Amino acid sequence: MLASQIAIVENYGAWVIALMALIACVIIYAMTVSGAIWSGLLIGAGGLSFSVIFPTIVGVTHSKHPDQFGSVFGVIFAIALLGAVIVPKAIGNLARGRTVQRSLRLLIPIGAILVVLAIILGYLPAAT
Amino acid sequence: MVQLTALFAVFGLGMCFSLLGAISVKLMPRLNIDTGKFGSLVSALMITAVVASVVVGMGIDAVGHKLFAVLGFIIVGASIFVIARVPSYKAVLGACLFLGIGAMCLNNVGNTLAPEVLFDGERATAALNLANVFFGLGLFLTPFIASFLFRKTTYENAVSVLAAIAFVPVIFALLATRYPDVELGFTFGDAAGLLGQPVVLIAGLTLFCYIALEASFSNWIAPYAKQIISTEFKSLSESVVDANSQQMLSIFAITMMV
Repeated sequence: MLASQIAIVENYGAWVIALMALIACVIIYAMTVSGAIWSGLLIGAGGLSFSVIFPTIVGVTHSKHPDQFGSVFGVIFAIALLGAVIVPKAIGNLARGRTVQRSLRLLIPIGAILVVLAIILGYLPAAT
Repeated sequence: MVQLTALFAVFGLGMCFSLLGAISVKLMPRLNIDTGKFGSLVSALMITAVVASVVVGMGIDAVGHKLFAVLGFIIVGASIFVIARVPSYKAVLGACLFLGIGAMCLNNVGNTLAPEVLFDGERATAALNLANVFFGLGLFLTPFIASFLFRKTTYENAVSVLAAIAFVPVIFALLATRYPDVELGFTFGDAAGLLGQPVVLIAGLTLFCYIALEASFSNWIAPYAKQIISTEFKSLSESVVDANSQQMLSIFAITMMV
């Protein structure tokens, strides 16, 4: 809601994504080492950092490739969903041998890659 | 009306993504499955969604938004109804496969319609951020309603209410008339060539990482919270721990909306 009213999100989308992903990594790490008393606060902070990322990635993509956006969105979301197929399942499998809390550490390197890719996306020229 | 269709489409997507997490603490014992098999349900939803996303995306460019908006609301409502009523792992697995198709109809409709119809089509990122509020609302209300209804009624009735909520916006999709025009001259071959474009590929990989994070949160927050709360507060009853765990998912969804 707030992000839809802030011009910097529209103008510096890729950097906003990278910053929020970095914050998310720190929060996830904290979730893996802290107790139940902090869980609500950390989950809330995680939601705040996540909230801007998806629409801003799609917005940046739309600005760089507005033509045939139905197909563009379909393709990028199909790639994206592979992450949802693989990673939650991997966490479930890891959690069999230990706790769900420790298994969440798997998300930290993924967040770090997201930071790098967001910066690359920002530098790419618009499709011709 | 077309703006409402876009917003309720992403709302429905939020419901789809948080549904399994929201009902996990009741669904796992009901079907007698462990975390690994529950993870398979999530994967089933996502695997069909991968294929459906591409097909629906191309379909929208070819025939427009309306058909997929109507189909999306119907399929999602029907799938949740099956999850509510049939106490069989195979049936729920099948419903999750269809839920993936319905979710992608709503996802592609919502996220491609919003930049065109909100803010007069002038501010794509702002429009998508606003739409994301409704996605968060779907994420939030699903576990909230589930948590509330599980204490008032049976699992079957509680999840059936969620099915009805997912189905109702089909009225907006049917009544809306000002959908964007279909692009002339679109061919499916054009869509196949998109993967060769750096912007599409890098955007896809960026979203890959993000969706991995979000889907993991949506599906594992409740079990994560249940595990750490029950470990540290052993005196709490199971129903209290379940309610607190589901509320954690609501906290995540509320902050996603802010």
